[in-house]
Amino acid sequence: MIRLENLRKRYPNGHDAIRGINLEIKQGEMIFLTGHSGAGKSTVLKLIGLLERPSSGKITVNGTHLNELNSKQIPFYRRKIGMIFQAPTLLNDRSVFENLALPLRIAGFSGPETRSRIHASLELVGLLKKHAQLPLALSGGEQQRVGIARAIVSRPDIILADEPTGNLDPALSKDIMHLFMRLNQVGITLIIATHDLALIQPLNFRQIQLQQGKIIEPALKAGTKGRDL
Amino acid sequence: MSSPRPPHRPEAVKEKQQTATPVTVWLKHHQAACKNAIKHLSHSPLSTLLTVFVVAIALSLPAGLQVAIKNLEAGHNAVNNQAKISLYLSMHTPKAEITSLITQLKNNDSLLDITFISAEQALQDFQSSSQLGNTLSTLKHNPLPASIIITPNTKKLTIDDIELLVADYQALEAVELAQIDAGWLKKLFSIIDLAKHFAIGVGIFLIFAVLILIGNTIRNLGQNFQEEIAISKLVGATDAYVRRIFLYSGLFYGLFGSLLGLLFVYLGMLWLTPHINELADLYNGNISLIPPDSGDIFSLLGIGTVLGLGGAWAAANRIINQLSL
Repeated sequence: MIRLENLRKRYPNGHDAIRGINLEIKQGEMIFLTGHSGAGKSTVLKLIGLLERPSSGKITVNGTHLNELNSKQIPFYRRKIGMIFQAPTLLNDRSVFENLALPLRIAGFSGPETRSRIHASLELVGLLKKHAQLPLALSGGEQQRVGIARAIVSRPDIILADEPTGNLDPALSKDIMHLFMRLNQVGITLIIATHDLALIQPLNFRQIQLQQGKIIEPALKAGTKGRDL
Repeated sequence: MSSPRPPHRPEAVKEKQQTATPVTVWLKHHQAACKNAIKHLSHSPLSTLLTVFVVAIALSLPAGLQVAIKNLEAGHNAVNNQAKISLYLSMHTPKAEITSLITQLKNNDSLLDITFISAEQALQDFQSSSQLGNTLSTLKHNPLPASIIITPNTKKLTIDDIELLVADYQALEAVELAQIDAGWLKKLFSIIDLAKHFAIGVGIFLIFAVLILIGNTIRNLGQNFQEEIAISKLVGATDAYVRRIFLYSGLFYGLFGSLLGLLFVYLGMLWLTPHINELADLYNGNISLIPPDSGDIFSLLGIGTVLGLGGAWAAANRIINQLSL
């Protein structure tokens, strides 16, 4: 379970990105953070992923108080979380396989286990045949799917996705959402920030609307399950 | 196809067994960092070679000075061992007093050798060496005094000690004149001392130069790695994991720089050898260059490696802090 309590984030320039958010996300839930640009969606994800620290308030993830984690503990926490960004952030001089192997090698998985997991992840995102290719040889949608495969290859408890379909056309965006739903069906908690309401409205998952760093509309109750696309 | 796992599922224990032991992981991370460092250094060979070359020059200068000082000291000791004190005895000094003085000198363990030259012996030596034999034989009295030649042990006595000893001998009634030409030895010793201080100063200056050079090179290398560092940190890399590749790069710069620096020192010695031999001929062939010993070699390689690691450590920390992930 993820719990945000009176969470605030003020940047050094005085801008209040998050202004007192209280939110509870159940284990295995899939939710959407919506709102205009600058509403604080990405900041919430960065705070949960510990890419940034809150100015005040408390974040608890599966019983761990993130505020109490020191800088040496953060990498081990991140290994339990998959992060997906609008741009796929891949190493362009390494093959798809090597990109997926990176988190597994960092975590110390054995060679056979690394290969097995990469195989499973690429199969799930439909890119098994492209494992030897360089990212730049792939289309934008394929690159994003490699990013998703890298996020799930460590078999994380939680996936944080920041505008994952922002650079994709509607058809590819639907494919990616479909993929997220499949991941959710096997129990992964997904928090997806998006401004594409047309894409997520039919899905009927909980939506948290943010405006100027505050939650203004929890559209659906916690635990609401979505329907297939 | 295996699907991503649900949270807190029972096979978590099994998964733990699929990760290698911490030591194996640590070794694999080092192996990967080493390979990665070699790969990136070999991607820009000219830049890498230039850096190694500059490190080599910076390290070979103090190392060369160190070898030069070692040789000067060895030469100084050799000359020092030939230092002799001459005691010219007063005319008509009783034989018993001379014997007593010689016995007293022989009991002093700071003196290596005592040689008595009688007045008659001195005259004979002078006649044979000066080719004035016939002229000297016309003299009614032997004008030369008896003398005692003393070889001091320079391992026990400094030049200052020897000078004090000479002053003591001069105060003896039987001694007309006690003398040693220590001035030039003192000058040589001062020059060596100055050279030592100069070498230390240059060494410290160049050590800082090498640190800055390697640190700056690693910082530039960090620009190429920024994306990889950011992605690695996002997927759970520790600072130590990120730092390793830079440490290996710094280690290679320092180690290969010091190896090349050592080669420069040997080449310098090879270049100087004919000139030293020429000089040696003038001094009866007693001068030869002493090469760096194993202690000097390991010191140079050690200093180079530590400097490489130190510069890389500082630069890597700066890169990691700038990224603030």
